[in-house]
Amino acid sequence: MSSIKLKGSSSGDVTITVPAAAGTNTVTIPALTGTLPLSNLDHVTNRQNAKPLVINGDMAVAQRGTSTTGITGGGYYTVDRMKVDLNDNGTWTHTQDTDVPTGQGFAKSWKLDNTTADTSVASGSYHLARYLFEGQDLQLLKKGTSSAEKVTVSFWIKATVTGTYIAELFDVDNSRQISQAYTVSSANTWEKKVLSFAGDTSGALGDDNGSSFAINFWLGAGSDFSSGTLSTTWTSSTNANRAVGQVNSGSSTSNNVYFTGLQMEVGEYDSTTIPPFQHESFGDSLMRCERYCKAIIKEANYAPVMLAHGVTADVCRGAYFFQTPMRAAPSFTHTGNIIRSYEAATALSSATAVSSRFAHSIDWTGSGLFAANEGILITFNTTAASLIYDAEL
Amino acid sequence: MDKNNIKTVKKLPPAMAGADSIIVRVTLQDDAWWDVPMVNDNSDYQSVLKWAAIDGNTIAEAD
Repeated sequence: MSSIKLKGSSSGDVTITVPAAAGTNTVTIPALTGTLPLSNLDHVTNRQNAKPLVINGDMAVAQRGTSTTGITGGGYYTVDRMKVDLNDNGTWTHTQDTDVPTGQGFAKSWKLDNTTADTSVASGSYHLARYLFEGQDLQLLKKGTSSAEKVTVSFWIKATVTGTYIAELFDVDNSRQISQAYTVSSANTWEKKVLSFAGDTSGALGDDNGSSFAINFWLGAGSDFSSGTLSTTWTSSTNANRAVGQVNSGSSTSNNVYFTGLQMEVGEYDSTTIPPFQHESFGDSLMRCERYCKAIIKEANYAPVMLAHGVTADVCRGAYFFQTPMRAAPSFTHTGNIIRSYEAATALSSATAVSSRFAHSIDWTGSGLFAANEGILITFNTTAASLIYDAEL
Repeated sequence: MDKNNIKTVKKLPPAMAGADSIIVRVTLQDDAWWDVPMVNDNSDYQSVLKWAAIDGNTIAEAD
């Protein structure tokens, strides 16, 4: 290895080093005036994903609504793509919140607010905030090969309970996992965490639309999940080793946990080298979220919902075509009153006829409201209503 | 969908006469409902299958 050392104009120096090389190599420096962004160059040139791997990591999209109360079980409630698994660890309210770390470019966070405490955590209790990936979206990790990539997870957290928390990567396809402890140092204060994980040379991820890989943020864990030794290397999952040391976020109704700025990078980074968060436009983020959830919300009285045709005097069949094909044939529900246009505001009942990744048909029922083969416009009424299509992982 | 939150599951009538039912109506403990396609890559249907595997739980046939 040979080097050239250049003295700084007033102090210090910069060394340019050439490693062992074969043949004749040329590096051309552009004929421009400026400063090379060396501190950022690595991720600019090496980032393999064009878009952020985590969708909606800035918590901007919340199609299902901005607040849900009384949460005692698992599911997706407010912020898109952000899931909880919850069993017997208190009652919670989820909110898309505007409390964010100052000066980081985030406008929204995901707030989990304890409303009924669990002061004595049972052995089988658990509470995890989760982000799930399709296997086909993480083939670039080369998991299960000798070239498996390291992974770094970065996020902002603000929590009432200080102490040890556990972040976990979980390979759903092969039931393998790796955990890492981190510390929330100051109560109710935004802190940025950067956690790097080893690559896993065992267990390939399925190249399909199934749930293959999860980032898990433990918030509470009974002894079934915490009585062993923390698993800090990739291994077949043993529940007792997954969340050793995890504090109980549900210990008081004064407790909150906020997250924002969730990102996952291929490679090993620390708090000084982690690439900046990739901000997407709201529209781009919404479009990516719509692969997993599509909500149609009543915004105006009598706003159109879909076109339909009469089947009988009592039934018409309508269809909704997804602008973004969904991950899987979605589940469907609707709330509030849906009516046929230019009729008395009789609320229609609905039943799904067919659900596919591309479109969804519904039989709307209203006594004597239709005629066979007539064209019908289905609309919202004057009160709050929504249609939800859900194909989440 | 959390399997522990499911109250009842019932098949909906088929989209065409003579066809098989391909959708189930899932009613949750709070009486909210979801129409869930009977396809394996729908995660709600996976929850329905887990719910149905518990003794005493049955997916009712369509009317």
